[in-house]
Formats: sequence, structure tokens, C-alpha cells
Amino acid sequence: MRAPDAGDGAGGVALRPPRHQADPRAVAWWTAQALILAVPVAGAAVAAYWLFTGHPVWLGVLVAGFAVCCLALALAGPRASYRVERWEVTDDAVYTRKGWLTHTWRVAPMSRIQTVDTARGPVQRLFGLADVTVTTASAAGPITIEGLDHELAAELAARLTAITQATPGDAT
Amino acid sequence: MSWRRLTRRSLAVSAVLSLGVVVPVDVVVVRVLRGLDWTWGAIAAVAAVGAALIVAGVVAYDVTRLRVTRWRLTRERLELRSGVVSRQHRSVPRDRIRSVDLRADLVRRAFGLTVVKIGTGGHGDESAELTLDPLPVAEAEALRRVLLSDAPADAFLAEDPVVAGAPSRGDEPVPGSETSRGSGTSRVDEAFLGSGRSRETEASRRNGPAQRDEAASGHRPARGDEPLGAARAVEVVARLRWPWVRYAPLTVWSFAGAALVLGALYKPLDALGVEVFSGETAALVWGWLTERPWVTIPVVVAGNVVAGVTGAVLLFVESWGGYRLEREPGRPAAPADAGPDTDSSPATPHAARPHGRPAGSHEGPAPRDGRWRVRRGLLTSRSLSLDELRLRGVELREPLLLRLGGGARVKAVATGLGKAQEGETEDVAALTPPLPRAEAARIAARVAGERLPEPVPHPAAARRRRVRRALIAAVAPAVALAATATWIRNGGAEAWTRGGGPGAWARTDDVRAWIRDGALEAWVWGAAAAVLLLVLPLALLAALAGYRSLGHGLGGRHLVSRSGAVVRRTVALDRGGIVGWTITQSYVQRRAGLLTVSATTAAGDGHYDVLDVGGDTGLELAAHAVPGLLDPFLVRRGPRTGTGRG
Repeated sequence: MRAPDAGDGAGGVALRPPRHQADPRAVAWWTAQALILAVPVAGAAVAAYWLFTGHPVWLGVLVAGFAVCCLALALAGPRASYRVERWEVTDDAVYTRKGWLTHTWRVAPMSRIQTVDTARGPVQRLFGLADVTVTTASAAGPITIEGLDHELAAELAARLTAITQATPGDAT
Repeated sequence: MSWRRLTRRSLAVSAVLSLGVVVPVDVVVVRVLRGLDWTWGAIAAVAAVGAALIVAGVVAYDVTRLRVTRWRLTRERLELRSGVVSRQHRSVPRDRIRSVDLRADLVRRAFGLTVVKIGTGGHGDESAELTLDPLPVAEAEALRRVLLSDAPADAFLAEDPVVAGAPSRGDEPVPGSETSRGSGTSRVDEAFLGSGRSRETEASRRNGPAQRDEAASGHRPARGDEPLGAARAVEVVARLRWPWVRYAPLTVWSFAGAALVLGALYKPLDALGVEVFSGETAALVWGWLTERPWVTIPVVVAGNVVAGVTGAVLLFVESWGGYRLEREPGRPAAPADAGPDTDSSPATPHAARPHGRPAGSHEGPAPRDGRWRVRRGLLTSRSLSLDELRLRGVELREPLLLRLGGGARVKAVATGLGKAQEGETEDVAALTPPLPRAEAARIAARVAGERLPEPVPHPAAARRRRVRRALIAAVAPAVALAATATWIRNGGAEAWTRGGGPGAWARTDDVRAWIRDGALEAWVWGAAAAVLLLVLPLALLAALAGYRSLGHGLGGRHLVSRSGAVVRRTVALDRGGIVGWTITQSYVQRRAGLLTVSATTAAGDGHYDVLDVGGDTGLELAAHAVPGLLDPFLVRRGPRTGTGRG
């Protein structure tokens, strides 16, 4: 077991976690998002059991277990992501980490950033949050920093844009 | 600067090409009218009128198209106005032009014309290409050279009397040079066919048309055009050798040969009234097959292979006949370059480099300002030119059959290459046909500009992971099948059909008898055994081959990564072209101490992965490949702390 995150004795190299976490309000927002999906699914399962079956006990246990699992995941998942998802912006690079079962670290150098966007969905706005999306020339997809305080996000985007504009060329 | 038009000879091409529509239409007309008992004279008249109408229509369309299509090259931009129905005006900055593609089929070649496609980057959508269809070969060649060298636009336009003021003959792009261009054209065609020739004659021949055009135009001194090629030899890196054709059949297509032939023949036969796929022929074929299967089936298989191999060989001959890979050097250093008007002398190649290449990327001393050019095609000649600055690496591809035969192919990893064209059989990025592996490695190293390191194998944990995956993939279905068989033996299936579990189809007496006899059980056991005996060995072989493929290395200029069980790909990615890192580690990888390092780039696939590399090695590799980028985020522990910082 030589996880790069964990201490691993002699000669090890590891990626350190990025400095910052998402805004704590992001947990509430992600939970709300997860519940919007999980509550109808669990509700539908229970309703179907109630309306369309002869109420066998074994099926009742199964359905109840399913519903509880849905709700538990919706409540626990965002807390887990909050602990795992981290980000950092230095003068030279953008660095993020996410993923719970599969960890994903991404690094993009400032000189190769092409566009910087902030996005705020309607629900996200209620929580005062925003996402920052950083695109490079690669087709491998943009880097997204999720669930930042919206003022912080705007500030970060402005800073990134300023740095990016200062570097000429097409960043390929 | 004035706008230029396409050449009028396009009309002749359209007329000839429209015969491709005329022939099938006339065939149908003749068939129908014969059925109505018309006389041959009347039929001939109708067919002739139909043919005339079609040709006239196509030519009329082409006249309109030529009328609305105009293009011009300025110092900064290439502009194109086009569109018969909806007008378009597209304008592309010249520093965005990454590739120039010349393509001439037999008809266009006969008229000395070629289609020019100019690739401008972007992610492969069609808007990333400008098409000039067609230009005279000499003009296209000159344009190609100007677009891909940093020559000023007027070096090209200076050849054009229209610019110098001959508006009265403005219809023809290069009037007055007709005769000289005729001879120039044939010479360029010869060059496309590429029989053996020394470099010097090659260079002079290739310059021939342009020089003749200058001489013919005679209005202005051809400033800036001379350094475009005359003084510098073109390096021919690879040239077709016919023994390579032995690698052509080593594709899966060889086994699908007859199906392809049938598919190709279906349409013309259908038009002639021969129904290939009718119940009658199917019954006939089936009867013939089942009569003596031990004779007929091998015959069919052999015929299929023969057809496939023949097809593959013919395809190779057409695609790669006259193949040549050459490198044209860039403009010489400034002193040799300074012409009479220094204000229009181009920026040095260095200034045109994409900025922001990390400091480590200047290790390779060789100048990277040349152009690569692939020429190929026996009937349809194709030429792809690629700016070396846009080259981000090179890929060696060894699909299974080709690998077993000791062959490989080389592909470019470049920004701004479009998608493969319709009807085109080769990848646009293909630099070579299938050829011997050693030769492919030599060419790859030449394209990369350095000797590429031999990939280092990955830890044994990566092999364990692959073997475990193969075992699970094969054993899990076998176990499931065995469990089902046991369940059937214990009367599960019988009870289930009686209980009304499955649909009515399973409740018939036949099915019940089939289950009771044990036939179903035998089949399921057989399937389980087949999975164990066939799938398991194959999966294990694939796992081991996949592990043997794994490897990575770091050259002076390139990051090398190799992987793939079926198609083994060795990618050398220019370290200066890496625009970021994605490092992933799944739960299983974490337990095995492995991770996947993925270099993101603007070129090719967008990212190139080093799969299942040891944790420390992978991070050190990424840290060294692009110095300074990953280092601030790494924690080094123990005795090696501080080492390996370049």
C-alpha cells in the first residue's frame, strides 16, 4: 500500500493535497442537489411497493433498505466530496484534486490556459456559490473548481484572466 | 491586394466527372425504354439528351460556383469568399495555418489541377478547413510553400500579373503563363509519382514551376521567393519500397474481404437488375453450401481470404504508390535571408514558435522550423504538408496482426489536422504505410528529431492487475454458467416452467421435454467449458501482452509512453507540447501502488497516458518531463528528497 497521499517511508514522492477546500456552504448545496434526485427515487420505490404489490415482508425490507441507502448516500456523499475536493491556484499553475474511490489530480500551467469562466446556476445562486472553469487547448476537458463563494470565484476568475491575458500566443 | 479566382479548367473537370452520373442514368433509361419496346434510335436520342442535360447542369453549377468563389492572400490573412446558395466570407490569420493538403484525383491530374485544403487547427470541425477547389498545380505548389514558410504574402502574389495590373484578363488567375505552366504541371505530376531521383534534381524540379511562372510574369522581381527552396535541399526521409506490400494484408479487413467486395458490387449490379440479396439466390447459395459442407466451406473461407488479401494489396498500391516522406528545411538564418526590402522580411522562425513552452523544452539544439510533407497515391495523388512547429510528437502503431508480422506504422501527433476525409482510406496523420519495425523506428526518431529512449517496463503489480482482471472476466461467467447448470440439474428450471415463471414459449411440451432430457443442462455445461477453455487463455494472453506493452521513457525532448494489448501504441510526445497533467489513481491502483499519469496536449488525441506506472516513478516522470510544473505540489520524503530536480 503506497498511496501517494499517505506517508510511505524512504524515497517516496507524493502529491500533496491542494491548499483550499470548497466553501462550506457547498456541502448544503450538493446535499440539496443529491436530495432532489434521491427523494423522488426512494419515494417512487416505496409508493410502488405500497400500491402495486401484496406487501410481502421480504420485499418490504428490500424496498426500505433501498430507500434508506438512497437517502444516506445523498447525505453522506457531499460530505465525503467536501473532504476530498480541494483546489489551489499559484502564480504558475492551477491544481485540483477530486474523487473519492478514484482520486484525480489535475495541473494546468498558467501559460497554457485559454479561457476562464464562472458559472452560477439558479439553485447555486441561493447558496451564494459559483463554479470556476478553466480551459486549456487540450481536448481532455476543462478543469472545474466547484462550490466557491461567488465573490471569491469572481475574484479568482479576474485574477486568472489577467495572468492569462498577459501571456501572448495561442497557448497550444 | 486583389482577389483571385479559381481556374476555369475546373469546368472541364466537372464535365468529365458528371459522366459518372450520366452513365448509370443512361443505363437505367435504356433498360426502362427497352421494356416499353422503343426503337434503338429513339432510345439513343433520349439518352443523349439526358446526358447533355446532366452535363450542362453540372457545368452551369460550376460556372456559378467559380463566379462567386474568390480568394486572396494578404500579409496577415488568407481570405475566401464562396457559397452559391449562402454566401460565406472566411478569413484566417496566416499564423493559424497548420497544414496544407493537396489532393488530385485522376481527372484533375489530367487537367493539371489540384484541390488545396488549408487546415487551421481547432478541434477537427469542418470550419477549421479552407478549401480551394481547384487550383493549377503550379499555383497550388507556390501557395503551399508560401503558407508554410514565413514568406511575405507578396512573394507569392508577385508572381501574379493580376496584381501587377492586368485587369483585362482577370478571369484567369495566372494568364500569360499558360504554356510554361503546362510543362511545369507535367513535371510536378512526375514528382508526385516519385520514381527515384537525386535530391538536387528533386529540389530544382520542384522549384521549376514557380520559377517559370516568375519568368513568365516578369513584371516584378520575385523578391523573397528564391529562399523558399532553391538553395536548400529537400531531405527525403522515406520512400516507398515495394517489398513493404507484404504488410498490407495484415489487417482485419483481409478477413472481411468478400463481404467488402459484395458490398462494393451490390449497387452497380442492382442498377443492372441483378438482385444479389433475394430469397432465391439466398436459397441457391444455402443449398450449395449445405450439400457438401466439407468442401464448400473451406472454399468459401479461402475465397474470402483471397479476395481480402487482393483488396488489401490493391488498396495499398493505390494509397501508397509513389509514397515519399520528406522534410523541407525552414528559412535559413537572417543574414542569408535579408532581401532588398527588409521591412517585408519575415519574422524569424523562432518568433513564430508558440510562446510559453516551458524552459526545459529548448534542449533539442536542432532547429524546428522545417516542414514535413507526405506524398502518396498512385491514381489520386495526395500531398500533406505539416509545419514542424505544429508537430507535437510521433506515434508508432503496431496493431496485432502487423505486430506479429514484424511491422509498424508511423503517425504524426500534430495540432490542426482535420478528420479523415470521406472516402479516404488513410488516417490524415499517417506518415508511413505499414513497414518493417526497424524502419518505422528510424523514421519516428527522425521525425521526433532525436533518438527515442527504449521504454522502461512497469512494476509487476501492473501485470498482477491485468491477470486478475482477465481471470475475473473469464471465470465469473464460467461460474455463473456452472451454477445455472447445477440449478437445472436439481430441477429448478423444470419447476420454474411449471410454475409459470417464464413466458408461454417455455411452457410447451417440447421445451419441457428438452429440459427433462438433460439437453439444456448439457448445453449450459458446454458453454461453461467453452468459456474456460477459449476465453480464459485468450484473456490471459491479452493480459500478458498488455503488460509487455506497458512502458515509459524520457528523452531529451520527448515523453515516451507505450501501451495496448491489441493495438500497441508507442507515443513520443513533445514535452514542450504538454499543456497540463491529469493524475488518476483508482482504489485498486492505490492498493497496488500504481497510478496513471496523463499528459494533456492540444495535439492528436488530446491526452496521452502512461498507464499503471509505479507511484513514485510516475510522479518523478511527470516532474522531470515538464520542469517546475508539478514540483511545487510534490512532497518528497526520505533519502531521495531533493534529488532529481533538473
